[in-house]
Amino acid sequence: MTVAADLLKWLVGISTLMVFWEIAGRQAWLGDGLPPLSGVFDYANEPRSTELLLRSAGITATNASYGFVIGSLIGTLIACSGQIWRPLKQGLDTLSTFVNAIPLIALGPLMIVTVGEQFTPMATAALAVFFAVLVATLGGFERVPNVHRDVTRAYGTTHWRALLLVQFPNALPSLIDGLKLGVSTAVLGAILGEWFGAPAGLGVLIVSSMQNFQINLLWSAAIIGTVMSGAAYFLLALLQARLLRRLGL
Amino acid sequence: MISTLKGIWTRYWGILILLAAWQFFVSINNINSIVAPSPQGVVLSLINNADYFAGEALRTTLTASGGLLLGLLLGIVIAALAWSTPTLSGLLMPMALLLRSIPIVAFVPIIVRIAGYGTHTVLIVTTVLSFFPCYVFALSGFQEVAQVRKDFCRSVGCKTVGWRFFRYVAMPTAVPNILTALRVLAPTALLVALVAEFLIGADGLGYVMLRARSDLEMDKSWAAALLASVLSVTFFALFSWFDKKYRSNWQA
Repeated sequence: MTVAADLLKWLVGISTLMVFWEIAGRQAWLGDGLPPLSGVFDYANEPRSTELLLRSAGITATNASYGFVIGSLIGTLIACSGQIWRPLKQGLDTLSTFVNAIPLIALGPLMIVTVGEQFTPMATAALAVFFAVLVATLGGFERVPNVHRDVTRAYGTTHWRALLLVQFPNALPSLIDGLKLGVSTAVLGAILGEWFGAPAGLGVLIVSSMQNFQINLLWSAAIIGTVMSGAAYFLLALLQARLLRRLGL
Repeated sequence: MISTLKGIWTRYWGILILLAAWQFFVSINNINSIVAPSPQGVVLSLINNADYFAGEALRTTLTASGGLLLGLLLGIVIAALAWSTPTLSGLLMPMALLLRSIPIVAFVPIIVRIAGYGTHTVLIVTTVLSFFPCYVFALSGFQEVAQVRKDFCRSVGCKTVGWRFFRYVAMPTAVPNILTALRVLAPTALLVALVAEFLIGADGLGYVMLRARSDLEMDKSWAAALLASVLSVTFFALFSWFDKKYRSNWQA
């Protein structure tokens, strides 16, 4: 019942938004910058623009997914290293606070030099995910009950086994939260990285259509980016629900 | 002496290693400063152009914090309206949740297209993109009033709707949430302001990064990036401190 009610709320909310948008666009309330929604859809449905949009979206999706996999692996590994070798831990906490606050766009100049313009989108996506996952995993380790830690120590368990059997499973829900946040930031990072001279992708499309007054193209690209990150978020949320049920949490 | 050094190392080894790796990368590859400046080059550029960087950093800080505060105010006001009219909150919730998964950078160009090129647009962009998270945090804060407090209000003859209940019960309950929103959003607001400056070409650190790079003044571009990072970390630290300091006054 509540699911149906929620769904209804969503449908009403989104259709209100769409209707409002259509009216605002038709009446040109915000000038040329906000075209009617139907106009955007018509534009995106033309074969030529569909092809362009899909190709760009494919490139961005590839960049984002590579970045997501690389970033989340490195983030998890580095967070775990602090559990295995304790002296690392304090410095890791400081590092994670610092890197988490670094604005992603500030890393653009760094990335084009170190990995090149072609791979910058992947690298910025990976960095964005890395931050999100590192912070979430470290937070997850913080929440491991002290009693559990004491038990592993009392039985003389090695750090590796304790990590594998106690700490990691305890941090898993938090890690998945981080992945869920990370998947949206991966798309964001890929789009942002494409501004620094990448050959193609949604980010390139967005900037060039902004500069050339191609409003319909701009909106279609932004909407596709949103749908992409929304869909990825939804998939991970489903996975999270299944996994947590499987773990009995 | 040695113990302080050791303390610094255990706390900051990550950052020190990053700096060392940077220096190593530049000197081992014998990279020209037009491609990648060394750490000293960047610091020197910061010191030599201190006035210039201070001005640009101040501008970015002001637009970012102005936008954040405007967005916060707007978020609190709309959340208060949504709290008193459930229909409105039902309508706004899907939008707010949708916006959470939106890649914000994709929407900066759109707002630029609508509002025009100029510093005022940077402010508008930061306001709009801070608004929704603030709204979500504030509304959930207003709705979190403990049942005990509602019961108490009823028993002394105060209604659990309306202005008086809002002013004396719901609003104080939401303060910790609003502090959290500020802490979490401070770096985001700065990022959004930088992105907007970068795209529009409005004065500020975001534009310095772009312009200095096209003038092949890499040390300046990196210096702006470094300054932006330091600014962002300071923002985060400041609001975390603020949060820590005042949270206990309001927590139930």
